[in-house]
Amino acid sequence: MKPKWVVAILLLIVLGMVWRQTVLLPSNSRNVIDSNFRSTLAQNNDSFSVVSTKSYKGFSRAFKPQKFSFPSDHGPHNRFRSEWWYFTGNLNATQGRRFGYELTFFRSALKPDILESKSAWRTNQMYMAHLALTDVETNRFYTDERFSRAGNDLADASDKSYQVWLYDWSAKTEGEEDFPLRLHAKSVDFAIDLLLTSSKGLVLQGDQGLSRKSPEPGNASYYYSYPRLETEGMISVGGKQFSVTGTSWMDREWSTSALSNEQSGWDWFALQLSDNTELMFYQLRRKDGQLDGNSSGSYIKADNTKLPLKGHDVIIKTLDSWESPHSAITYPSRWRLSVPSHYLELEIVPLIKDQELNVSYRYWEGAVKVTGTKQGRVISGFGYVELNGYKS
Amino acid sequence: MNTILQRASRNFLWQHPWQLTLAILGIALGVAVVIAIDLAMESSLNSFKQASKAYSGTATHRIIASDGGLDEKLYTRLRVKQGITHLSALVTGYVKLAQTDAENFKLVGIDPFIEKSLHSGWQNGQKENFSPELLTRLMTEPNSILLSEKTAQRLQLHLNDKLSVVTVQGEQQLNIIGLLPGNDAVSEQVLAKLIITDIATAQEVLGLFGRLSSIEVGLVNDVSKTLAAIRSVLPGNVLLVSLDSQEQSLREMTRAFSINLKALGLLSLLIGIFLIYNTMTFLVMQRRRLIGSLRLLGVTRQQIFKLIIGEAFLLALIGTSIGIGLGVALGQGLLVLISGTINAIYFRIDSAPLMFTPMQIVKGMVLGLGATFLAVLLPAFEATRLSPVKVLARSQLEAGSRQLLKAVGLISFLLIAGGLSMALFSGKSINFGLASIFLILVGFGLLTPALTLLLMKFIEGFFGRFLGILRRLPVRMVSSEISRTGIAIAALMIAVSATIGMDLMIGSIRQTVAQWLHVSLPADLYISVPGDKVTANTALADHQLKEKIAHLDGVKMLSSVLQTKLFADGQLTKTSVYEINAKSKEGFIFKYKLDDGIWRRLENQQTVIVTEPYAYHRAIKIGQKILMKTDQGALGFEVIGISAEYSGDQGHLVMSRQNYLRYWPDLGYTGIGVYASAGADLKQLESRISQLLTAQQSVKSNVDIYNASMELFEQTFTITETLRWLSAAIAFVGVFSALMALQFERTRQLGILRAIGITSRQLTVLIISETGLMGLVAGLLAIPVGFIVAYVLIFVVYQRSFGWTMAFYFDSVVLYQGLALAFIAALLAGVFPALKMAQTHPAEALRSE
Repeated sequence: MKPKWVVAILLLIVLGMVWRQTVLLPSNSRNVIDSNFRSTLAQNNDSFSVVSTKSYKGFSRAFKPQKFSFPSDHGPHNRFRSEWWYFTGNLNATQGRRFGYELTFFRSALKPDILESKSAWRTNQMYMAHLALTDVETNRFYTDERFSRAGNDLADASDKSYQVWLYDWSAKTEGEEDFPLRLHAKSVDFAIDLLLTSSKGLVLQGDQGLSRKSPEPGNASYYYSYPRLETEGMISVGGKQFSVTGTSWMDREWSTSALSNEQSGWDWFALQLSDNTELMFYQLRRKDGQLDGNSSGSYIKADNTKLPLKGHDVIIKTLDSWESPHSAITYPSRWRLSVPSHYLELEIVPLIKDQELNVSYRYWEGAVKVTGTKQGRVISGFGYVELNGYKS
Repeated sequence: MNTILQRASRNFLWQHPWQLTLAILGIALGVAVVIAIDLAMESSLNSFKQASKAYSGTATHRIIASDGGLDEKLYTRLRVKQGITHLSALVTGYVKLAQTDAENFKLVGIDPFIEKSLHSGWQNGQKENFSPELLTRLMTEPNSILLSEKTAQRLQLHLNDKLSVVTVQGEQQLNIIGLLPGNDAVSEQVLAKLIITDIATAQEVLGLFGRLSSIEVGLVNDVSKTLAAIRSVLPGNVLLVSLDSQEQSLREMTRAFSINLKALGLLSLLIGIFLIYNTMTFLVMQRRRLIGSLRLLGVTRQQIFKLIIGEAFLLALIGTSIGIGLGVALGQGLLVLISGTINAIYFRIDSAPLMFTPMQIVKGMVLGLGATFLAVLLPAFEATRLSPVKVLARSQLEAGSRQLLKAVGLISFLLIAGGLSMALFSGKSINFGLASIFLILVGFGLLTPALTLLLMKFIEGFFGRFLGILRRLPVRMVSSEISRTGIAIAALMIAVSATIGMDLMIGSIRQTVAQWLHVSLPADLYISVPGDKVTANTALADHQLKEKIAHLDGVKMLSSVLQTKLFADGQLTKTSVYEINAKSKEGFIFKYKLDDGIWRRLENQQTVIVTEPYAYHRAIKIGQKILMKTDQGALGFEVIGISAEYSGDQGHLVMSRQNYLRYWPDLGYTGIGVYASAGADLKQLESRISQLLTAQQSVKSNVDIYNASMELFEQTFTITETLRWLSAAIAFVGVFSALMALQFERTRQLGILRAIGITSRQLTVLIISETGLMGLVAGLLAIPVGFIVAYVLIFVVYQRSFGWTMAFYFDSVVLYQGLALAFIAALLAGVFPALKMAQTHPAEALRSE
C-alpha cells in the first residue's frame, strides 16, 4: 500500500509543478524593424503632397517680390504651404578623407488654418528632416529622416533668432547674430556637428528673392541663399570621428505652389568654384520630356554681385546615367554645363554614384566635383546636385 | 488475446452507460473548473498588456508619474535635448457615453507620427483606410476619433457619425473619421473599449492641458545608455519602469487572489478524483468474476493492469476533452466575475478577451489524465493484486479493506498533523497555507471510513436494541461495505466541510468589514468629487465647492480626502490625503494603542500612517521610514501608526493634507465629508448640497455608502461563492454516482431481500435511509473539519493573502446548512436507484448477476 501512496504523492507534486509553470503568453505583436520612419507618412514616394491638401485655398502665395527682414524671415512662414531650410556641403577631413553632407528641414502646412487651443500639441504644421552623408573613400552613402508636428516644441523654427529644429536635429545660431550657425544631427551610425560661418553674405535669388517656377502667377517661391559658408566641425561615421573643414551652401525657400501641371521635376545645381564664385541653376523638366523655359539661376561673383541666368543662358548636356539598384530609377550622372555668356565650361561628376535618398520622399541629392575652364583658364570646385521627380 | 480482452472491456463498459457518463462527467467538471479559472485569470491579466499594445506597439518601458506629475515638456526634453528616439507620448482618460447606459470608454491620445515600431497593429496593418491621409486628418481635425469596427457596429454608428461623450469638460461631440479593423479576435476585443484620437484632441477633450499620462519607450539599441540618458532628466516624482516589471507587479498584486481561486479549482479536481476513483473501483468490482475467470484462463497480471489503466485512459481522454471545452465556456463566464473583482479591488481592466494558449490546453490535458491515473492506480492494483481464486470471493475485499483502515488511519493522522503544523509554521506563504488545508481535508477524508465505522457501531450499539432488523439494516449496510460507502461519505464530507469552512470565513470577513465600515464612516454625508485628478487646474473648482458647502446651514464641520498615487519605496502607491477634524479621527481603527500625539505629528512632521495590508506585505513596523519621491527628491516619511483596512489587499498610505501640500501639487479633493450640526435635517441638507454639484459629482449619506460598500463586498465574493457551488455540484455528482454504483452492485442482494418478503416500498425506504444516513454521517463529520478549515482560512490563508486580521465570527446557521446540504444531497442521490430497484422484479434482480 505505502509505495502506491508515495507514487500518488509524487504525482501530485508533479501535477503541482505543471500547474505552477508559467504559461506562454499569446503574442499578437509583430516585430517591426525601423531604422527610419519610412512609409510613416508616405507610401507613394511623394511624401508631403500626399498629406497636404491639393487646394491652395486659404494659403498665402508668392505673387510679387517682398522685402525680407532678418532674423524673422529665417523663421517659419506658416501661411505658406511648404518651406525648407537646406544645408549641403563638401568637407575635407584633416586626414584627407572627403565627405559630403545634407541636412534639410522641411515644413509643411497640412491645412491653411492656424488653430487656437490650450493644447500645445494642436497644430497643422508638420516638419520633416533629412540627413545624408557621403563618405567618398568607402563609397558609402548614409541617410536618415525624422518627422514631427510643430507642437510642444518638438519641431519648429524661430523668428526671433535663427533656429530650426526637429527633435534633436537642429540648425541654431550660437549667439546674437544669424551666423555662426551650428548644425547638429545624429543618426544611429553617423552624425554631424558643424559650425557654419558666412563669408560672402546672402543672395536673393530670382527677382529680388521671388523665384518663378512656371508662368502662372503665384507658382513661385521666396528664395534666398547663402552660397558660401565656411564650415568646420566633426563628423562621425562607422564609429570613427573626423575633424573636418569645408564649404557649405544654404538655401531657404517657401511657397504654396511651385510647379505647374506640365512640369515633372527639376535638376538643381549649386556649385562653389575655386575662384570664389558660385553658380546656382535649376533646370525644370516637363512631363513631355522638353526643357521648361522657366529654368533659372544665378552666377555670383567673388564680390557677391549676382548675375541672373535665364533658361537659355545655360546649356546642360547629360554625359552619363546611373540606374539605382534600390528604386530602378535611372538618373543622369555626369553633365557638361556651359554658360557661353560667361565663357564657362564645366564638367560635373558625382563623387559617388549612389547618392539616392531612400527615405519616404525619394530623390537624388549628392556631392559633385567640378572641373573645367573659365575664360580659358582652368577652374575647379565642388558642389551639390539635386535630381527631383524622376520615376522608374 | 488482447482484442478479446478489449472487447470484453468494451462490452462491459457499454452495459454501464450511467457509470460511464458519470465518470466522464467527473473528470470533465474537475478539469473544466481548473481550466476555466486559469483561462479567466490569465486573460484578465493579459488584457493589460494587450491593451497597451493596441496603442503603443512594441514599447518595452514606460515613464509614469504620481498623479499630477507628468509634464508634457519632459517629452520635449527627452526628444529634443537628449535626442532619445522611440518614444510615444500618451494622454489617456475615461469618457462616458452621453447615452443612457453611460458606457465607459478609454480615450487614448497618441501622436500618430512617431517611429513605426511604436505603432500598434492597426496602424501598421496595410489596410487601405489607414493611409497617411487619415492620420493627418486625425491630427488636424479637432475632435476626430477612430473607433473599432465592432464597437461602431454595436453602437450603430457609421463613418462620419458623431459620438457624444461626457467628461470633466462637459458633453462633447466626437467625429468618427475612421474605423479600426481588429486583426484578430483578441485585438478586436481590446480595441472594442478604446477610442483612439490625436494627443491634442485627447488633451482638449479630457482637459489635461500640459500633462501626459505616460511616455511609452521602445528600447532598441544601447539599452543601458538610453536608460541612463532618460533617467538623468527625470524629475523626482517621475519613474521609468519596464512594462514587464509593471505587468509583473500587477501579477504580484493579484497573486493572492489568483492562488486562492486556483485552490478552489484544485478542490473541484480533488473531488473529481474521488469520483473517478469511485467509478473505476466500481467497474473493477463488478468484474471481479470476469477478471478472476480471465486470470484462470491465463491472462497475466500485467495484462489486467494494462486493461484497467487503458480503460481509465480512454475515459480520461474523453472526459478531459469535454472538460477543456466546458472550461473554455465556463471561463467566459468566470472572466466577467474575475475581471469585475480585479476592477473593483486591484486595478482597472478595460476589456478582457478570453485568450487561451496551447500551453493551457496541455496543462488541462496533463491535469485530467494525471488525476485519472492517480485515481485508478488503486483499483488497478486491486484488480491484479489478489490471486485468481481469491478474486472470485467478494468477502475477501471487505476483509482486506478493513485491514487497510488501520494503516490508512495512521496516514491520515500524519496528514492532518502535517497540515496543521504546515499552517502554523510556514511563515507568510499563501501556497503552504492552502496546501495545509488540502492536507487536512485529505487527511480527514481518509479518516472518514474509520470514523464512519465507529459511528455505525455506536449507532447500532446505542439504538440497535430499539430497532428491528429492517431498521438496523441500513446501518449494517453502511458498515459492511465500507470500502464503497466510506469513499462516497469522504467525498461528500470534503465538499461539505470546504463549504462550511468558506461560509464561516466569508461570514467572518463580512462581519469584520461591516464593523470597520461602521466606524470609518463618521461623517453624516459624503460628497464624491470624481474626475481625473491629474492636473492642478481642477483644484480651484474643488476648493470653491468646499467653501460653498461650509457655508450651508446645518453644516457643522467638514473633512476632506484626496485619493492619489505617490511613489513610495519605488512603487506607485495609493495614498489618501486627509483633512482631519476632531470627529473624523474616530474613523481610524489602530492596530496598536496610540496616544493623541499622533494627530499632531501627522500634521506637523514628515510622517504617514499605513494601513494593515500595506504593513503586513512589507513587514513595516512603527518607527520605520518610507522613502517617498517628491519634487525635492526622495524623502523619508516615518510610519507612526497602522490602521485597519479591508477595502483591498494592497493597502495604502494615509497622510495629512497639510503635510502633503508641502511636497506635492494641490490636486483638489476626491471626497468631502460633511458633519451636520445637531438636529439638522439631513435629507434637506443632502438635497441642498446636491444642487451645488455637477453631473459627475454626487452626495450620499453614510448609510448609503455603507450599503454600497457592503454590496461591493458581496460582489467581490461572488466568484468565491460561484466556485464553491461548482465544487459542491461536482461533489453531488460524485455522491450520486457512488451511491448509484453501490446500489446497482447490490442488485442480487436486494433481490434476495425482496424474495424473502420485503415489499418494494420497504426497499425504497431501506435504500433511501441508507444514503440519508451516509449523508448525515458526512455532514456530522464535516462540521468539525469545516471549523478547522475556516480557522486556517481566516488566520492563515487570508491573513497571508490580504494582510487582514479578522475576528472569527461563528454562525450556527452555517452548520445546519452544511448538515442539511450533505443529508439532502445524499438523500436525493438515493432516490433514483431506490425507485429503480423497487421496480425491478425480484427474480430478474437475482438473475442479473
